[in-house]
Amino acid sequence: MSDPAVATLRKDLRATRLFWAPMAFSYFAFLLMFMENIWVYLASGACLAFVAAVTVMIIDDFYRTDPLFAALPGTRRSLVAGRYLAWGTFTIACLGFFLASTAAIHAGFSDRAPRLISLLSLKGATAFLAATVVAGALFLPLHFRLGFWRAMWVFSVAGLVLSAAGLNIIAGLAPDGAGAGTRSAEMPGAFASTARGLRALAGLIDHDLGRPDIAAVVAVVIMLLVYLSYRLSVRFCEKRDL
Amino acid sequence: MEYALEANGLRKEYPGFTLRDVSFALPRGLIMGLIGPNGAGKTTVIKLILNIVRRTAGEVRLFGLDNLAREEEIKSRTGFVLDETPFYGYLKVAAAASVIAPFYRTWDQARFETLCREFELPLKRRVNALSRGMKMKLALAVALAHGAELILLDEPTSGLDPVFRRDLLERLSGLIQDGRTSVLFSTHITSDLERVADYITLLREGELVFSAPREEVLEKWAVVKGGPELFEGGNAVLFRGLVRGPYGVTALTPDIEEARRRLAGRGAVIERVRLDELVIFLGREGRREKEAGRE
Repeated sequence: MSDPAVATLRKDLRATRLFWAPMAFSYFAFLLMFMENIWVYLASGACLAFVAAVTVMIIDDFYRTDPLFAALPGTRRSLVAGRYLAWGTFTIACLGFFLASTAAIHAGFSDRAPRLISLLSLKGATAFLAATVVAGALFLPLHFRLGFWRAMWVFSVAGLVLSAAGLNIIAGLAPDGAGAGTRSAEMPGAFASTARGLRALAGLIDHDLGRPDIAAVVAVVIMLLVYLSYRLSVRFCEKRDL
Repeated sequence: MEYALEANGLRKEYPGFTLRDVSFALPRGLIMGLIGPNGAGKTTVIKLILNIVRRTAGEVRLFGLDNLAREEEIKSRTGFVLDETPFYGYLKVAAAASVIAPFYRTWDQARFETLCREFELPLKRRVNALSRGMKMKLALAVALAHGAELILLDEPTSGLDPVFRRDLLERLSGLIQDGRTSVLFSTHITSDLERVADYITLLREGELVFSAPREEVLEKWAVVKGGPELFEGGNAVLFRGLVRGPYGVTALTPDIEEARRRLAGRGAVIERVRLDELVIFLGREGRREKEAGRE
């Protein structure tokens, strides 16, 4: 890792330091709100980690700092590397905070959220990391191609459509009975199928993601995805006027 | 001669504007003023040197090194002030600088603090609370705090009061005394350059008009005033940027000796040119040519 990439990480940490305490407070408050359903709880934790990781990009966009940092010692490649390094750092920090918060919430509210303890495991950590790292790997190339807000719109809309499509495919592939729920039957067709897919995905995470071999495969796939994402981001950034 | 900066055939195409094949060279230890009307391409040239925008064609060399192939090295030897001062507004001056300091191996914190004191820039004030002039001073302090060999300044005197402007110009003159430091200084306040610039580069509508030593420019170019008949026929090639007024015609000539010879005894007034007159006359000429091209 080049020095300019590390300097970019340090600048991101310094630029966001002021927001860490309010962010941690909000993060904990949101987790408390959703503690009774571990899947919503896990999704909230991953979404908030995404928000934490993009905070510095929102600040950079607001102050239009791209030309300044592009003019400092470094290359476009080191600028991209710094962003990925910062994303990784925020993700790891959020994972640590997520696990610590989960332990604290479980200790205080074990009667209301008895299943939270299951997230303090390889399964919980892998699911959290998979969600946040995949989101980063998909979002960052868009960011370097389109700029922050346009990337955010494309990511949100495409993410919603692709997630729904993916869940419907999972629902179709899942064996009969897997992911069936009492409420699914009351929903219109497409929603019922999406809900079935969501339940099937939750079942997969619950049963399989805790296995070391599956976690290792997930890790390899994610690393490959991050590598491809990084290459794409460098390509986009090198062609862009800042 | 050793050059701090060389631009060869530099070209950048935007929708509606093209910087066309600009070439110039700044010898080490000198100050070059980059002048021209708004939209001439001054900021684009500085952004191309720093690789903030991607060139369409051409080459930029700093200290003899290609600005893309040796990007990190050349940037660490270069200080800059951009036309905007994009620091994080919610940080204090000291913190805003500490965000930038890790990028420079040769960052001198003591020098930065000394410069802030000299510029009367309070380290504990938030950037948002600074005036445009004060933000410019912060950008200058950052640009000068790591011993840069080349300093690129894009309109650094805009927003500064006349006293600080004079101080800055004296400081720039002082910086180049080591024979190692060079300055490229874009400005529309041409009177600043008449004091300090060794070289003048004039851009207009994305094209280079000239790049030459200041003395040579001021000795060769002149303003000529007289009756319309003086500027017609065979003499027309001698003049640029003609302005017809109720009392005659005023124009520039790039060859004062030839103008004196041809117009001797014909009632022409020939005066030494000022840099702002060069920008005004050639800027008007450029606009007229552009409009004629559209028609």
